[in-house]
Amino acid sequence: MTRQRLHIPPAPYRPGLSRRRLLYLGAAASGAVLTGCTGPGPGAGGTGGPAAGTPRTGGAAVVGGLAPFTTFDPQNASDAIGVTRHLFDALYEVDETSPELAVRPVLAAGPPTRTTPTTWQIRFRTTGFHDGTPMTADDVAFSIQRVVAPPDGQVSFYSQLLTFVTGVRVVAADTIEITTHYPVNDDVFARRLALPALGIVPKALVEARGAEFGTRPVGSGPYEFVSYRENQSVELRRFAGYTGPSGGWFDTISWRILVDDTARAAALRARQVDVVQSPPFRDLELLRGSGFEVVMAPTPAAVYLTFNCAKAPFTDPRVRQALHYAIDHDSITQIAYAGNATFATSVLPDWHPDHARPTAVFDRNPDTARSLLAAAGVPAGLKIVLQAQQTGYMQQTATVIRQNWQDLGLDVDLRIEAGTTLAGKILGGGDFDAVISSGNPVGQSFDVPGALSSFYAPGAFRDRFLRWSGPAADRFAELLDSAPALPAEQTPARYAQLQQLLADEVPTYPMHYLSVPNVVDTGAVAGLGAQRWEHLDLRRAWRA
Amino acid sequence: MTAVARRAASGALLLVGASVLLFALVDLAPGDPVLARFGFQAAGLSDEDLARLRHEYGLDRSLPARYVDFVRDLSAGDLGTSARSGQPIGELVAQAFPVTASLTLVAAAVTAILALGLGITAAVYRGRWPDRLITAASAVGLAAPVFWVGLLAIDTFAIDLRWLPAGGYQPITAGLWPWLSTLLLPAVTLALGVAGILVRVVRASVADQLDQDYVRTALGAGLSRTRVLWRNLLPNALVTPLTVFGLYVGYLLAGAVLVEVVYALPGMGQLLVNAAVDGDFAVTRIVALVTIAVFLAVNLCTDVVAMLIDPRSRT
Repeated sequence: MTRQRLHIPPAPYRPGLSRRRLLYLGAAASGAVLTGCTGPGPGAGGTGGPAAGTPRTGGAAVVGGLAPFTTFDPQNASDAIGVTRHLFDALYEVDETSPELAVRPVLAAGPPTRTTPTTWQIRFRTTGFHDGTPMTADDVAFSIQRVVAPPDGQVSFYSQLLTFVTGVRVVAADTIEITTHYPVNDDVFARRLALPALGIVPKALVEARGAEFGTRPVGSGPYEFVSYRENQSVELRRFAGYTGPSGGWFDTISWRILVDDTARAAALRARQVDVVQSPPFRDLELLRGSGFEVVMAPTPAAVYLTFNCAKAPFTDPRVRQALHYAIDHDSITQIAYAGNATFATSVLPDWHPDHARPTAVFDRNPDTARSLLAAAGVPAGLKIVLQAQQTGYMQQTATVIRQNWQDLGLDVDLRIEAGTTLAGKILGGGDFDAVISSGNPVGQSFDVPGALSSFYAPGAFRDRFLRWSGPAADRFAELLDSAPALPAEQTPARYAQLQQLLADEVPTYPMHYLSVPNVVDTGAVAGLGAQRWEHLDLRRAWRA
Repeated sequence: MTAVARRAASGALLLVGASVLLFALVDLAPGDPVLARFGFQAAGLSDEDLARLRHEYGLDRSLPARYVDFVRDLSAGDLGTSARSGQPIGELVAQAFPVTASLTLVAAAVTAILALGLGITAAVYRGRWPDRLITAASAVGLAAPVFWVGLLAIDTFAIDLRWLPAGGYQPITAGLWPWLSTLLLPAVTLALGVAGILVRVVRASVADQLDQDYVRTALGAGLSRTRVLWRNLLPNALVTPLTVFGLYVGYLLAGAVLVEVVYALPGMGQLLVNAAVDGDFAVTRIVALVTIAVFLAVNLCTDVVAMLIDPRSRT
C-alpha cells in the first residue's frame, strides 16, 4: 500500500476574502492585541515592570511532566509537543484561546498570499537560531519539505496531512513558495501550515546530526534546549536572542518526568514542582484543598469507542448505534472523570467552530438500543469482547459500559491492556470486537478535513483498525477528499454532512471530550491560563 | 578457589540460559513490535515505512539469527539502540544503573542495620517484651505493601514535615547529603520487607548459638558478654543470615521497580517499566539481563564472603 494521496478535481479559483480569511485576519489582529497585553516578549527588549500580574523575566519553572519523550525533532514529535513548541517557532500556529481557533502568524510576516489557484507565497521575518546561525529561506523551505516528503530513511507521522503539497521552493531571502495539487481553500491551507511538525529547523545542522538532532534540538523559539536525561528531566533556558511574539519569561524551565500519577501530585504538594500535568481526576479536589489552582478547559481530546466493522454483527451500523445508545454517559462522566468531561454529540466538540449537531445523538436510551438490536437480528446473549486501554479513566469507562451492555442481555467480556500492546495486536490484523481508546485528531490537525482524515479517510487507520468499508465509507471518503478544495461558503454544509454521516455509521466515535487539567502553584507561576490542547504551554507564563 | 570457580561457572551458564529465555520470551510477546512501538500512531505510516522499520529492527530475520547478532553485539560492548528514543541503550543503562545501585546499596545497609540491631536484641531478650515487640514489628514490616508504606512515608516526611524530598534523584556528585536525602525514604520503604524476614533469621540464629556450650564456657571463663557476642558468637551465627541476605538482595532489586515508580527515581526499574509499556523490546531485554547479571554477581559475592567466614562452606 502506498501513502494515501488526494486526487481532487480542480475547483474554480475564487479570489477575495472568505469567512475563514476574515477570521484569520481577525486572529492576526487579536494576536497583536494579545502580544500587546503580555508585552512583546523579553527578547524584544520590553520586560515591563515587575508589578503583580505583569509578565517579567527571571526565575525558574519546574514542571511535573507525564511521560518520557521520544524525540524533540518537530518532524515526529508527538509526545513532546509540549516541549518542542517552546523550542521551535513555526510560520503559523493555532490560537487555542480564540473561539474560532484562529490561525496566527509566528514567524510569518502575514497570511499566505495566493498567487495562482495552486501557488502560495509566504513572507517571513528574518531571525536566528539558538546556535547563533541566521534563519534562511532555505531553512524554512527545508523544514516544510522534510515533513511533506521525508528524506530516505526517515518517516513523519504528519506527511499524510500534507499530501496536497507538490513543491516548496525559495523565491526570495525572506519568501518561500508552496505549490499544491489542487486549489486548497484558504482555511485548510493556513491550518495545515500551523502544524507543530512544521517548526523551523536549521537545515545544515539537521543534515549533519541526522537522528541525533532529535536528542539535541536547535530551533528559534523563546526557549533553547539545554539537556535531556531519559526518564529524568528536560532542561530549557530562555533564548536571549528571541524577538518573536511567543513570550518566554522564565530564565529556565525544567520538565521533570514523573510517570506515576501519585508521585506527580506528591511532588506538587511537597512544593518540588510548580505545575503538574494531568493529575488523576480523583485528586483534583485534594489539590484544590491544598491551595493549588486547577486550570483546565474543554479539549478536543476524547475517549472513543471503536467497532470492528468487518466482523458480524458489527458490520451493521444499527448494532453500532444501539451499543452507543445503551451507554450511561452521565454515570461515566461522574465515575471516570469526576465531572470533568462532556458528552460527545458529534465527531467535533460542541465548542468547535465547525461543530454541527447530527440528527443521531447518543443520549442514553436503552429502548432505542433494544429495538435497533432486534431490527438487526442480534440474538440475546451475544458475546462481545470489550477491550480498553490500561488507563484509570478508560478502565472505569469500560466497566460502566460493560454493565450497560449486560443490561441489554449481552454477554460482555472486559479485557484491559496496555495501549501499545492493544495497538500492536489490532493494527497487526488481530481479531477484536470493540475497543475503548483515547484520541485527539482535532488537536493533531486543526482543520476539519485534516482531523477527520486522520481517523476516517482510506488508509492504515481506517483499514487496519476500524476495518470500515462499503458504500457509506466510500461516500464519506469522496466527500472528505473534495472538502479541502471547496470554496469557503460551501464548507459549513460539507462539514455538517461529514459529521452526520459519521453519526449514522459510528465506526469509531467519541463518547466524551475531556477537560485536561494542569494544577499550578500560583505562588510560583503566573499567567498560565486554561489550555485547550493537552500539551502544556508555558511560553506566556512567568514567575510569580 | 575451586569452589569459587565452580560457582562462577554455574552463574555464567545461568546467565546464558537466561539470555536465551529472555530473548525468546520478549520476542514472543503478543503483537508486532513495530506497531507496538508506535501505538495507534503507526496507522499513520505506510506499509513501505513499516516494512523498512521491520528491516531496521531485524524483524524480517529468524529468531536464532537475531539471537546470534544480539550476543555478537553484546560481546562487542554494543547494547543496541532504544527503538523509542533512538538513544544507545548503553547510555540509558549508564544513567539508570547508578540510581538503582545506590538505592539497593542504601536499602541493603538499612536492612543490615535493622536486621542485626533488632535481631540480636530480640535474641538476647528472648521471651521478654523487647523480643515480642520486635517480632510483632517485623511481621508488620513484612506484611506492609511497599506502595502503601511509600505513600505514607511521602505524606508524612515529604509533604507534612518537609524533611525529605517526595521524589527525584540527585547523584552523589551533587553532594553526600543531597544524594542520601533522595534515597533515604525509598531505601527504608524498600528495606522494611526484607528486614522483617532477616530480623527473624538473625534472632533464630543468634538464639541458637547462645545455647551452645562454647558460649557458656566462654562466659564461665569470665569473658565479657560483649566480647563473646562479637568475637565468638556472631561469626558463627551470621553465616545463615548472610546467605539469606544475599538471596534477598535480588528481592531488593526487584522491589526497586515499584519503589522507583512511587518515588520517581530514574533507575533501572523505571527504565524497565517505561520500556515494557512502550514496547521497546531491546531496552526491556537489556535491563532484565543486566539485573539478572547483577543478581548472580551479588550471590557469588555472598558465597565468597560466607566461605571466608565459615570454612565449612568451601566444599
